[in-house]
Amino acid sequence: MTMTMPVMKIASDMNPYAPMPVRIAELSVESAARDTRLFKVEFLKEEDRVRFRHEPGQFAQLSVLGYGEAPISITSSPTQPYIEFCIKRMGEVTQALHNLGEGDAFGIRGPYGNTFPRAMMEGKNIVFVAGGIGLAPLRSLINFMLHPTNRASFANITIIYGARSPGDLLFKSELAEWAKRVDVRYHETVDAAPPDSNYQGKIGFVPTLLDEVAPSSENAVAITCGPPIMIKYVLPGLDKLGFAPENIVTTLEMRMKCGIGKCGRCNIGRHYVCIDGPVFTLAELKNMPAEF
Amino acid sequence: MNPKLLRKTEIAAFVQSLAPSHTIVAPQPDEGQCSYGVLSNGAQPALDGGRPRKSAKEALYPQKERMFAFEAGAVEPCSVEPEPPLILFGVRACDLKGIEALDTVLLHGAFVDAFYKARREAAAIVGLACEKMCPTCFCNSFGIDPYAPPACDVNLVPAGDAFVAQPLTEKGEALVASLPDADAAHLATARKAGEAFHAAENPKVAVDAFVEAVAEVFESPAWEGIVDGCINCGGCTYVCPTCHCFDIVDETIGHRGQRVRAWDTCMAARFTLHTSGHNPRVTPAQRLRQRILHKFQYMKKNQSILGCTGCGRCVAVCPVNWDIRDAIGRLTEELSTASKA
Repeated sequence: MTMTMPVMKIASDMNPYAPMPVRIAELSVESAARDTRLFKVEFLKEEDRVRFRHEPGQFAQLSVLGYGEAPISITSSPTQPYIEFCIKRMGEVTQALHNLGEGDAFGIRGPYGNTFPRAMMEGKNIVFVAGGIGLAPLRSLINFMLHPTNRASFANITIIYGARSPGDLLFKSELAEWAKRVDVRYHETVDAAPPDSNYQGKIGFVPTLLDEVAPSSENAVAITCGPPIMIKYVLPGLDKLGFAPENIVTTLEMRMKCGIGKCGRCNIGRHYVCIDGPVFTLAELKNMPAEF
Repeated sequence: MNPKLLRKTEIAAFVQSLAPSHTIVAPQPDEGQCSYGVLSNGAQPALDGGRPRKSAKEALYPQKERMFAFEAGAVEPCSVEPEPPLILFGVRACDLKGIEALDTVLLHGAFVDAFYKARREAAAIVGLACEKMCPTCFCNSFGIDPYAPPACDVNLVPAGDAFVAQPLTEKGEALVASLPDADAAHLATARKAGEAFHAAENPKVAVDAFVEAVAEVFESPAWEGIVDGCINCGGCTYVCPTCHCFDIVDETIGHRGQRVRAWDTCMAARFTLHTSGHNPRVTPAQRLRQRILHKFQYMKKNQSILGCTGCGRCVAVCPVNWDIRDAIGRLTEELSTASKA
């Protein structure tokens, strides 16, 4: 016997599962394979725009009605006057998002999750190590730190970034700006470059570039995000450079539904990636079961 | 608060008197057993039918529930008209404890589940004390006492041809205000029912020792050892009074649709499957470990409550006779031995 209960209606502003409508203000293709796009969005309702205050490291549930939701990190910095998501076409929802054009609407819930631990980074040398679309969540923090009002709070900033091919390097105009800045040490690599490309940069994997650059771990924090195979080799590399586990920060992905710590799906041991994460230090991860 | 008397012959009339302004959920006959269900007009609750087949959680947290409707790419605004509040009538102590566990997850934390909260706060809950334990029950192992139950407004205690209705909250007192006070004879019979229940020799599972044994455990060969014939069907999670994991899915017809949440099960491989194809829990042993540790370690640490109330429904429903009581015993032994070794 199945119990049929009366339908419960909850007003949108009280309903934690109801998305806020946004409109795509600007859309750009980020990768040569056209599978990664940058969505700049604006809220359709002024009260949503005012309410949505995020910090670097947080994510949102992006919603295409009829297709579902996907958790996506917020790649824009809170110092920027708009919200951006960098989305790779992977499954049903991201495909539906890729089918949208400028001016089209979709929904977002959030911001959710914890933030990069900025307080412990202040006054320190910062080393970013990113691979592929792993740069998207770090970009929020990079641009936050590089903003004139915040730059003085951090010492040297090193960015080590790699992608599979030159066409897979994301945010290219921004990468060029970082490379030009005197207060940023920017290093770039690709796994391989096709013979017909005019790519002039380094060829090799991110962990190898990390070994070459060998940033000092003295008074430093490393923040890394990338595919599991990259992380697997970056962590020992950072360890060799002398970075202590509490000074290595990363951000995780997990299958998620609610994003608010209720649906019981994204846990690693007793910790929920949606509310206790997605940002964890390596020291924290070492105390958690290896189930991710 | 004065105990009241509800004669068995007057239950239907009493429930009827509450019905116009409330939706009433009570046990009803169901294929030789009983199940909680919305009571239709004039129907008699089946208060002597033993443990209902599923827990009472679906009255507050339905198996499938609409989060909102949408049309042509936009969420439909909804006018919120208050639903008649619920009365959960005749809820067993294991299920009351289950509601207490759901409260800790859905009502607390940085976010509140507005759907559960709206139903829960409006609901009045009438407990029903068991006269004896079923063969698969082990609520006694969790210190649950049907004669001093958690999370209810009134508790019904069997007293021969009647129930003694003991109000436990102001809401409960108001609910039974129309009933006569219980007389001394019925109070004595009710007291005897409690004494008989407490005196019965029912086997116990050593829950405390198990909670201690699994407090810090994750990696262990012991998990493989308890998989036995588990086919990961997830039936256990659907009858469980505390399981609360859910999925969110969109249902559409043309341009109209609704986003619903539906109970989900950690026993399913797809539960944690990433879009990339990566899956943190690929084996049945990993999924069984999740189910057990969520109940006995994670909820204990995060919510200070256990995610098992000893209702025994998972034992009764299992198609391959997997028995959590047996698993608890074997795991306690193996994990304690391993930690001493």
